[in-house]
Amino acid sequence: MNAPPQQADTSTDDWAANPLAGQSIAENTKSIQYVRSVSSLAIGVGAGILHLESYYGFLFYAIASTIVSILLYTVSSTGNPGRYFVYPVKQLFVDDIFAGLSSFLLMWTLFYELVDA
Amino acid sequence: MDLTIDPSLRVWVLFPIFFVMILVGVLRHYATILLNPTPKNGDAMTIRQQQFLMYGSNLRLNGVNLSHTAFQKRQSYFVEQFKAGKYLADPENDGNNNPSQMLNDPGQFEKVMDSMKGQAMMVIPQTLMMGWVNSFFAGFILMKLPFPLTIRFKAMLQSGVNTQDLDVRWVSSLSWYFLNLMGLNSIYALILGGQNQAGGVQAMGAGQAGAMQPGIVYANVYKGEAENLALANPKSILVGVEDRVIKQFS
Repeated sequence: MNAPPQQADTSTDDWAANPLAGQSIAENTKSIQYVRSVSSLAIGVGAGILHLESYYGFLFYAIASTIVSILLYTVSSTGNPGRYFVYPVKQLFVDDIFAGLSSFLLMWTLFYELVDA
Repeated sequence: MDLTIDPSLRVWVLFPIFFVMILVGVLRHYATILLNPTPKNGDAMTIRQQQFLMYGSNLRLNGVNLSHTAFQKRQSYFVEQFKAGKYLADPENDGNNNPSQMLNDPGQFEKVMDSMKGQAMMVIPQTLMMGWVNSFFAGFILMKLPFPLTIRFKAMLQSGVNTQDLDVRWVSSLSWYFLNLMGLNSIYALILGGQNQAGGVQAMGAGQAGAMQPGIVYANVYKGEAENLALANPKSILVGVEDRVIKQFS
């Protein structure tokens, strides 16, 4: 993760006194998107190798991407995502979940097919 | 019902479509970079016009950092200049560039051509690929999807396979093409980095924005900026800064 957009002191919630660094925020958002897309490939490979079918596959994706979100929350942003993101919970847990879904489907289908035969 | 699928289909259909689509994406990425035009500088007057507008909006957005009197002085100066239409690039001919005239203007014409080039880079490979898959790999079942679909997808995903009662999960090669089309973004991100130009379905619509902009009357933009700026009344962060600093370090 990049330099924190906000200054360390967040006692005043006045954004003028603690301005946001737009570049760092954009960079952090980009790195989330990258992690999401690559991890969705890995999740798809996993689901295919486990030979999951229909709802279990989607359930697997939901659980695994939530784990990725939790890891982003605790490890990548050191448990203090408010320093790196404007809307930490929304950005880490909700956004980009469905962006990775199509890649997940691709890898799932591919590896399901490879394991099948 | 279970079908047994020839394993050589996997080697000769599944992998070729997959790899060719990845390579086409990589090719498109580098072709886009090569064809990408170097950004053109406008003439000095146009740049001056834009920069002055930017000064105004920067003052409006970042005015908190100035003291009250300093802000007010700048505010009154900029409002005056905006109202008088100073620094307009071409005060007499402002806003006369309607779309029919736009193509005569070489700068505008190039802009339109560039956006069309970008569009063509997206659409042509997609069309070719779909034609390739459709003509070379049509008429047989390729794979079984791991997830069920409704019967409505049957016509699209089993095109060319004349079986009435076959489960929709058995699909032909065209649907493998569609899966690739949707899902390869992440693989491009892995190979080419996050800011790639390989493009997927998401990128296809994006090129159209900003292609055609009918003439902007900059005098009106200036008037609007003057009004916005006149209304701005930011509370300076320097007010009470001593108390806050003492509180922070005490």
